Amino acid sequence: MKILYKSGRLIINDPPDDLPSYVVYDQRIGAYVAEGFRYADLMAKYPEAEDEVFSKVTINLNHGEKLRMYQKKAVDLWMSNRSSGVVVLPTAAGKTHVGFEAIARMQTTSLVLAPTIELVQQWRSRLSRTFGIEVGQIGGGERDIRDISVSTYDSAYLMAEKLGNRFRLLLADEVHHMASGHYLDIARMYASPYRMGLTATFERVDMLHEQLDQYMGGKIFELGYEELSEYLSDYEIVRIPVELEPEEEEEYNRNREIFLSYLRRHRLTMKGPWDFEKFIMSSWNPEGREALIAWRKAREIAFNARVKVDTVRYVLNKHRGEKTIIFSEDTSSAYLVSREFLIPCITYLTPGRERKAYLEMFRNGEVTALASSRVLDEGVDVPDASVGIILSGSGSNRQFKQRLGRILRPGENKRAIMYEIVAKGTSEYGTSRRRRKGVPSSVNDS
Amino acid sequence: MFPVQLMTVRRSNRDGTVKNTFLFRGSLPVVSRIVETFHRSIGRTRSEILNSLKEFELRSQNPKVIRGLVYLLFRLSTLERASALDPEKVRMEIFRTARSPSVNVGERLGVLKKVAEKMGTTVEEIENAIYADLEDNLILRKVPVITPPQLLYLYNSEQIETVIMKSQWIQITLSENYGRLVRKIRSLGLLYSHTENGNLHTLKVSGPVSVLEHSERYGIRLALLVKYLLHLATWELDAIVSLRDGREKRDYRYHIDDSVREFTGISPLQMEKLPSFVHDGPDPLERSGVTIYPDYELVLDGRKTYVIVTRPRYLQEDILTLKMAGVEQDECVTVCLLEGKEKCPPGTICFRDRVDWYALRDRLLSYESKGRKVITSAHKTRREKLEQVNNNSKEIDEKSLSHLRKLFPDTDAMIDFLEFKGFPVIPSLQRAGFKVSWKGLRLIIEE
Repeated sequence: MKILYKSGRLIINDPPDDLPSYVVYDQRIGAYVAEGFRYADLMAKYPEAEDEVFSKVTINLNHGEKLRMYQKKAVDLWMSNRSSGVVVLPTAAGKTHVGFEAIARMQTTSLVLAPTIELVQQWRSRLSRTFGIEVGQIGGGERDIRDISVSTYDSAYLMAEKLGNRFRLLLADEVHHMASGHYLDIARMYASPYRMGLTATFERVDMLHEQLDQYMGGKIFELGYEELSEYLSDYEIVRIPVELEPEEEEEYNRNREIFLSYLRRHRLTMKGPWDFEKFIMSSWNPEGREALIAWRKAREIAFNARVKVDTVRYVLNKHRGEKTIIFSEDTSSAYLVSREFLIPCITYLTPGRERKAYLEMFRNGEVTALASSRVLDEGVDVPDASVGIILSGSGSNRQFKQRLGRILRPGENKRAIMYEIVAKGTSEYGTSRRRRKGVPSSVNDS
Repeated sequence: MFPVQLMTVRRSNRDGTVKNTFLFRGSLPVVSRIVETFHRSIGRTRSEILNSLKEFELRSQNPKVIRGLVYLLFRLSTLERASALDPEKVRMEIFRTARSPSVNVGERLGVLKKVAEKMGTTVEEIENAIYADLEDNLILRKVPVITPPQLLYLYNSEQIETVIMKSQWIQITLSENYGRLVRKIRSLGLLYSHTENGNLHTLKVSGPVSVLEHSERYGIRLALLVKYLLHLATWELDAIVSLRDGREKRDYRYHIDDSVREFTGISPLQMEKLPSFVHDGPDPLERSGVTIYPDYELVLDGRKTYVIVTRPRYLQEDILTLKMAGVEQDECVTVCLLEGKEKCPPGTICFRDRVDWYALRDRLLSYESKGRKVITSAHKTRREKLEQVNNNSKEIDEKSLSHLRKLFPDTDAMIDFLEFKGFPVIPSLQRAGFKVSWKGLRLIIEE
């Protein structure tokens, strides 16, 4: 029996009689085939099989990083789970170190996946520094493939047919992304026998994370904020309610009423994301469209209330010189803040080169504030950032925890502070309450 | 192709089918109005144009149609930045100068003045340039020369492609152009199964992993195949399309045939006009149990020569298929079409974008007089050529070895590099620590 890898699947030549049910006959090519992720199972079942899937490469990797107790325990558990599984740790708890240790222990070809270019660049430079090697990058305009490489999820998906048998270890940062849409193809098509997922927020509202059990090995280790308080910076969450201007309030109420009366007429309720999706689906008629536009308009007013910009001005002035990240839900607010306060802005529209430059400037203190829409929510590590301002956001608890994590890296005498600027008398209040659910904090309206 | 949000279809959950909602002649006033708005909007920003069409969109029976037409027109139009300054440089200069947030008006103006002075311009120009490169801030400069009926046809064709993009597999039934379609399927890296009933051929087309899972990853390639199919004369197409239905995805049956021509305006006459010595879609060649589907047949001086038009990445596979079938290259010639910056594989007849039939004829006739040595030897001698170069005594230096290692795993680039530098290929690869073996005509390089 011989196992090969071609175009994203395993091809089994000279098969034995007792093939498992996940191996099927593809009459188009006249051969037995299986999904890439079955490689480990097939090799375990047929250890004598001729393996033409991976070339034999051993890499000498050592690092001088000192692991915390829980980080070591996470890697030990992962090793004992056939080197597969998901490690769940809060943001700022050092998931990257867990990844380094896994790579160092496996001493093999490894591909790190990350959802954004910022994270890819961050992983690349940290891997390179930690192991003293050249690290490849796939995505963000680069296609430099090396034994240890970092890729965006998008590029890994697009190149699955080509790269599926290049890396024995697949390390997926922010692994919850892998559960959705086409990214699951990465988990299915890559033959990597060793798989590690890292995330702070494994469970998804849509429950799609359950699919990862089969492909990534399921959750094997988890710790929460409470268990790690000694390793995280102290923090405080301050909610600042702002009053809409009279004409804004009037416009808000008018639009809100259009939206609500549409819901009432069509007996729609809004209890969760699926209800909202139902509303969107029903809105492709002029009446529904009007309701949708009214909803958007009301949301825009609440998000972009003029007084919010002045409140940001007040907070920035109060924390002058401290490293601050301003989060917004939409790109236009991020650009508005950038223009108003002359600070760099990173959104999904910002080219890779510029993103890298701004983050570097922020890290080395050339600029002290950054505005961003959702792209900086996850993973980006700037240890001395201590102030966060949420100008607008969704009700997602995951997003809130991730944003909070940006300012929780420990530092000497550091006390991080996260401001939420919320328009009074609007649905933003409820949104703010929803997203903070389960996050230990002291919440003041000030 | 449209983004999937702009797909306009009618689905029936009762019988599990999905159908395009095409625009027809009665929709022309709507199409004309949008084209006119674009012509009137030259000099305005993209976001201003979108805002001006918002109300029209809201009042329309199907706002997706308006958005789809606008999407097409923006794609075909020319948009430019409002400022002559480089916005990226302006931003960098501003942020560096400001360092920390400018929290009052005076402070802000001071920064902008400094930057304007440094860049030899005005504060106003700096304010204009700061985000002039954002898509929404681009200015409409030129609208395409397109009539409303042409835009309507384009809309309908791209709606078909958009539905196909969400399909898991497609099944095409046709009586003519079978070989041509098979070649297209293969050149797109798709797989097919074939059944024949009289002169009717049925091809079920999907991607390599489709047999293992429901995957939409081949949707774009299937859509490109259908884009090609729309230009053929007589055909039928069935597909299974996965569309979201609330929380779940649901499979729908989709069927179209060549009668959609009425909505797409694509006539089979738009196929390439060929010179009299070129015949389209000849019968397949059966040799040694292998079927070859040439694209064309050339009659030169009363002698038939088949032509396979391929792409560089499929060239070796095509050459191997011909070799397996025992078809001599003077009977069937492979011609490579290059796109963009693609390079012509050594020893191959290449054309950029389309075949120049007269040039090909002249070339083949000139080879004819010399016994077609060059064509027949083009790929057969790749191995000989490499072995010949291997006899060079020139030894590879350390710098070249290091560059060679960097090129791995792009084996073509590695060989090209060694050939270009005149180093013996196989010994140099071995010196660089690679394992070298032959698979048919392919040189396999492994670490």
